[in-house]
Amino acid sequence: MGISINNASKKFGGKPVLDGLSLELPQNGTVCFFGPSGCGKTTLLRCIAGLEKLDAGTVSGVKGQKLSFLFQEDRLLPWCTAQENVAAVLACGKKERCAKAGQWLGAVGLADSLALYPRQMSGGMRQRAAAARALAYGGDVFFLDEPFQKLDGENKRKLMELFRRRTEGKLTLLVTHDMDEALRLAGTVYVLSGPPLRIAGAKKCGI
Amino acid sequence: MTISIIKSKTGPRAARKIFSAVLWLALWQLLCTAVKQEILVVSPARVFLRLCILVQDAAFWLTVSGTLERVALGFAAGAAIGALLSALTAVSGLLYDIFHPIVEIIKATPVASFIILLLVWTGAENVPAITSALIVIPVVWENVSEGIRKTDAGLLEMARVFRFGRVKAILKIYVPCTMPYFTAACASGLGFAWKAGVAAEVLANLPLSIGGQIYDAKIYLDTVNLFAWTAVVVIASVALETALSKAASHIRKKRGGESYGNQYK
Repeated sequence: MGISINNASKKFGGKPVLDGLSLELPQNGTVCFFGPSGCGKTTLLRCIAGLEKLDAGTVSGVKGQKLSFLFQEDRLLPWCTAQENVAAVLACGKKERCAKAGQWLGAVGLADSLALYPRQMSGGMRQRAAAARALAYGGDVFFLDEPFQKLDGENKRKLMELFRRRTEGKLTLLVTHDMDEALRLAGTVYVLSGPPLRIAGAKKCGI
Repeated sequence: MTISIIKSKTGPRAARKIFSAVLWLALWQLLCTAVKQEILVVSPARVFLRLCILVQDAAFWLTVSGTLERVALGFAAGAAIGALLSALTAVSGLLYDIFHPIVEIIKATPVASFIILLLVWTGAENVPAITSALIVIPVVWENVSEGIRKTDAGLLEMARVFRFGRVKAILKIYVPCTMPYFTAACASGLGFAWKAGVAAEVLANLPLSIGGQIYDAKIYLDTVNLFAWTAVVVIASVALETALSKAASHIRKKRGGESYGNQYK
């Protein structure tokens, strides 16, 4: 069973961002929410993940699932190194945590930057470290909120491939306003407009 | 060009500091010369000479260490209780309602009232440490509470998503986020602790204490001693504050030198 969104409504400062939205999401595969900035994509993602409380309506099928989130901002702990940031989300022993963190940081191309603090890294490096954290944590549902916006072409492709492999057989919800990203990663692309958020169209990509 | 003009106007920091010290010493000397009564204003040279004599006496070091011990104990207890209270009042509205009025009362009560009450309630030996602690508690409580309130909401959300749990969230997010507030509170609280501790020693007339020496100076109208012991308090307070601020800065640099703030709110 996938995730069901029923009559979801959410207002910010009296302005409706979600207004009675209903949507069925599959149990696995990558679903992309594509639309212009400010249409409410991130709000939708946050409401599904339970980070925002709906004013009305329900989201079912998320409770009890392990969620991994790649935020628009890196949200790295400024007082921890890249390795400590990734290790912080892992639940195993200290040695194993460090080793796994090192492996994932290596996978995103930050093998030489394990001991760097966020302020010593560029925006792209921080975004990759945050991606390594989400990848290392794993989970049943991956929420990717414009995950590749600060990356150059090479790193973007590398990260897309990593996420594609890591999320196989799982559900990934991707928010983007880059059609290339949407078509490369997603099995289903919802074209959105708003606010309030409306589904203007849906496209099956067959991935 | 503008920068070089500003630099040449202000000069290096050390030189400016020396200039400032010399200026105030000169003003002090001028005042002393104008008043012409040593019982009212003592010259800086006389105070310096008295200090030189005092430091050669073993009793001086016993006196200073005695006061230092009492103030340090009171300060440490006050800082720990203040931090604990801020954590408790942050998690529970009921505890906030219980402790907030008490802390407000402590803040508003004159130090002299505390000292006299404590002299009645406890032995004179305990009064300086308890007074110092009582002065530090509201400062630390208010600052750390502010730090907890301003803890980065984005990082807390990240911790929620990645299931940090309470202990990990406290250690990885709350403690580092509130640390600058705690160290700032400690820096200002230390000065207050010194003042309050020495004031308590004066009123308690404790033997082998700086306050006791100040009390004796008052009784015997020994203004030179009064100035000299006051200088000791100032020097010790500044030295401790500098040491504390250096230690905090060292820890901050070791942890990436990050300025903590709410980046994602």
